[in-house]
Amino acid sequence: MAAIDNALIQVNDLKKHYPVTKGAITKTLVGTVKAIDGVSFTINKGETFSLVGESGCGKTTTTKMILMSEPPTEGVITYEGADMAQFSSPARKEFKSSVQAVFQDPWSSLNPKMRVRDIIAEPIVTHEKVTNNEINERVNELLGVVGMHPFHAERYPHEFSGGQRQRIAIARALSTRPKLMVLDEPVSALDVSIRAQVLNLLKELQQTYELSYLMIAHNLATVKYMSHQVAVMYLGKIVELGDPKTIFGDPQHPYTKALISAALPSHPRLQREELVLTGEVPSPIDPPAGCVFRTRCPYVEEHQPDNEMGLVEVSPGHWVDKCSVPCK
Amino acid sequence: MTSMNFEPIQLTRGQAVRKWIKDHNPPWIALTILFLLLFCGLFANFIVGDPMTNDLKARQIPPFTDIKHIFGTDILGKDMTARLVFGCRSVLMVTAPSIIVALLIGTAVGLLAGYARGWVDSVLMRITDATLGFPSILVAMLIVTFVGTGYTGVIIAVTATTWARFARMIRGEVLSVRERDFVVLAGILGVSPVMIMWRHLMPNVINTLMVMISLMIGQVILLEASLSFLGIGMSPGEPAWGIMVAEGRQQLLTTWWVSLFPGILITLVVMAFNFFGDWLRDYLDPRLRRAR
Amino acid sequence: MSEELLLKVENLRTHFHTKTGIVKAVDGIDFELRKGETLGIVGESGSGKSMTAWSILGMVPKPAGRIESGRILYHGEDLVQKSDDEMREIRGTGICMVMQDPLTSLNPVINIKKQLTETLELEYDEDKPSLVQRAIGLLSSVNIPAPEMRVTSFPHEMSGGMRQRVVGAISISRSPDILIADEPTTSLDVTIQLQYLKLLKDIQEETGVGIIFITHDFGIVAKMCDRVAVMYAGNIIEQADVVELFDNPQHPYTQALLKSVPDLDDDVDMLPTIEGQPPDLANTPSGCVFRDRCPNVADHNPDLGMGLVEVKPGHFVDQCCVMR
Repeated sequence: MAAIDNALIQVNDLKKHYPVTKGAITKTLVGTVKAIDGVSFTINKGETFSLVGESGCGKTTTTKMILMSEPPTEGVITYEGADMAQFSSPARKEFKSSVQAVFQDPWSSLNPKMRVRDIIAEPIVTHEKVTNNEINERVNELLGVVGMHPFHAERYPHEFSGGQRQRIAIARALSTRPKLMVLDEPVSALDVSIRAQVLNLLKELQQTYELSYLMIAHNLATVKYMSHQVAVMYLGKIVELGDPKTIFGDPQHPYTKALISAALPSHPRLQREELVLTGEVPSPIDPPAGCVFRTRCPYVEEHQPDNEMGLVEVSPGHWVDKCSVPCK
Repeated sequence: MTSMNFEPIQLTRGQAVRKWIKDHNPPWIALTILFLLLFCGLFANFIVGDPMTNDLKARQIPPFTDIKHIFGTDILGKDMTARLVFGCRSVLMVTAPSIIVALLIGTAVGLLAGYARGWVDSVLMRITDATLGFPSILVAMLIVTFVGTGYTGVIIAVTATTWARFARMIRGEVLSVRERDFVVLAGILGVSPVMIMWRHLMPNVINTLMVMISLMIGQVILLEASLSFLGIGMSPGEPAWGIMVAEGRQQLLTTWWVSLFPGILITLVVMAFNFFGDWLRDYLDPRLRRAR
Repeated sequence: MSEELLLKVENLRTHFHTKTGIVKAVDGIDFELRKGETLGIVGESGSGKSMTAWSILGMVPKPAGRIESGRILYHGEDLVQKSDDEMREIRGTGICMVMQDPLTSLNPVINIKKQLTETLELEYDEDKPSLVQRAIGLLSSVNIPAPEMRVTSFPHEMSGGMRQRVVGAISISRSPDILIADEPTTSLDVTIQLQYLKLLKDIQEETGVGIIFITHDFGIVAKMCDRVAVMYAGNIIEQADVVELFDNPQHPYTQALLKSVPDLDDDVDMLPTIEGQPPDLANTPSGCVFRDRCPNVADHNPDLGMGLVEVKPGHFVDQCCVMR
């Protein structure tokens, strides 16, 4: 994978399984939801790593693992070289202030009863001992950084538009000078003309503060605009990984090709060749054995779906699941 | 960069108040009744005479006949007006502490159960359900048997049956608020559970709480009145409306005023609280106003 | 375009009378829809695009909202003048709508069979079993696998994509002339969205239904639409054939909007943005509604009232940027 020195987060063979039980008192195991089933990647400092995939692919679960909201079932995640599962209490606290999140819905991310100042300051007061003056200074500075004014600090969230609320959420996330921000569909709920503003802001912040982003977005064009690395996920596995130019310019895996073909055209004359997948997305409870994509893959006849999945480097920095890599 | 292009128009105090009144249409009649209740309760001794003295020479005087006793007198000659007005004080003295204690217990239980989930939630909710399962009168009677009748007994009885309603309601609200992104984000941030409950959950369930309070006060008043009516509440002779209704029961056709007037007051006050509670719910509803 | 004219909207104004002022949700728009054609109405939130749909369907929320003026001509009759009962008749048989959230479009406690037969029995006077057969036929026409089994399911037992297709099936069950689709794919996964859009196109080819597609996504416009109307603050500021619009956008808003969308086929370092925010619809600027955000306002004529001018055959732009 990429140069270890530059790595902020390294994920190694990560798995998260949820047991499905029946019965209220005597719980019997009837199945397992394999939300993520062996995922490995590296997030570099100052870079954006995007997870792309449809519902049930495991991208949200992956972010939960990275945010330490839930412990993984198997696998190791390291932060700056240290195994996160082995964190001591102070290390864990430090981690919590170094990793922040911005979610999709600007109407639900901010406590409607709190003033903007208190919302932005909450991470600071949770992790540091600061005086009121210091808090005010930092809040005003943060508001300026996201393109708003100090007098906004006195107001309540409902007085702002969606784009502005997202800026407030970003200011809050920046308040503890994090190294990594998890962005879960940061602009999907915003108006089209506002999206560019917020995306540009995020780009600027990344350059200024050497921030890493772990981004989830369904819009491939947004992913291409923002990312340095992209991982395409399907049913809890990564099927293709690489930089956006390669992934979108020369996709190897049939699922990646299907996603790209389903992306809407940017001009009526540039209609893409349609690769329509058959069937519905299978459930992550007990997915197919071997290649998880076999039930919908249009080329399954030519592939080796019975083999276990695993990424193979087809060109420098470009990894594809071995099932679809033709055997020579 | 984006700019906020609205500056709030400065209104004078008077203009702002008038505008608020025009926009929100407060329930005047209900508010008047409640205000009178509060006023009479607080200043009863300055308004009327003694509600407790018997005056056997002035027994059972019908209302509107004697200037000294506008609402008549009861069986033992006590002045009805004084008793009715002092009844307001009983209402305040019983409902206020009961509601306050009930809501403190109920909110704490609801918050804890709703946020902690798991076995804490199960245990607390079983206790709550058990309490709710019994009809309040029965529970109240049971408590009064142990603690005794009179003022303290009634308060304990009423509190013991009311807290569970608050708990259930608050837990429901908490269950939905805790899923909102800002609560999830606070958890991710590492904010302690107590802080989350205090800073994020409480302020967002307060609206429901306030509405519940107004509506529960009516219930509490009725409960107290019923207990008194059944003879297990306040002591006979006390100026409490429930007692008064009970006392007049035997001779409803002859000295009808002894039961009727306190009955009317109970009805009016409970209705006033209900109307106020309804108005408050609409006032605080974020969907009907721009946001609170 | 020599196809039959299905709908003609003339100078439609839908205003809401609120305590804080008159909100001009739709403020004088004109457009046409022909048989077999897809018209895209593009705009952001507050542009008035959804309210346009509600106005056509006669479902403007009363009493605050009402159609102040204008005509909506359908089969030669003005829908604005119709009574509630008459509009109810037209909705369903003539003009249908599919909306964004399939979960709320379907009744969660009634199974699919019942919901379909409910609609079908308004159209076909047949007995139960044959109505159920029709329902199964409808489900397979929207590509739902194993329709005989699916027909007894409940909405929550189906995926989002399937639900949208069922809603689609219900809408076309009475063969309407016009289908209004209000952001129906927003909550769908990308590959499911593709299936659904293909479905709509197939239905249109078979039945010649005219589709009005309301969206904020230019990608959908590029894929689905024949003609496009761009709305801003209750007005249509540009209207053209789809290729013409993408090739030669004339209005600064259209130009900026097209440029601010990231492109999968193109590479750009920083996306250009539009300054400011959409106006408060109760307080729109006089003259050109876009004047406060327009980068070229100095060269334009913002004091003229809003109104479209034909700059090329079939390509209309608001007169502010045209008249010098």
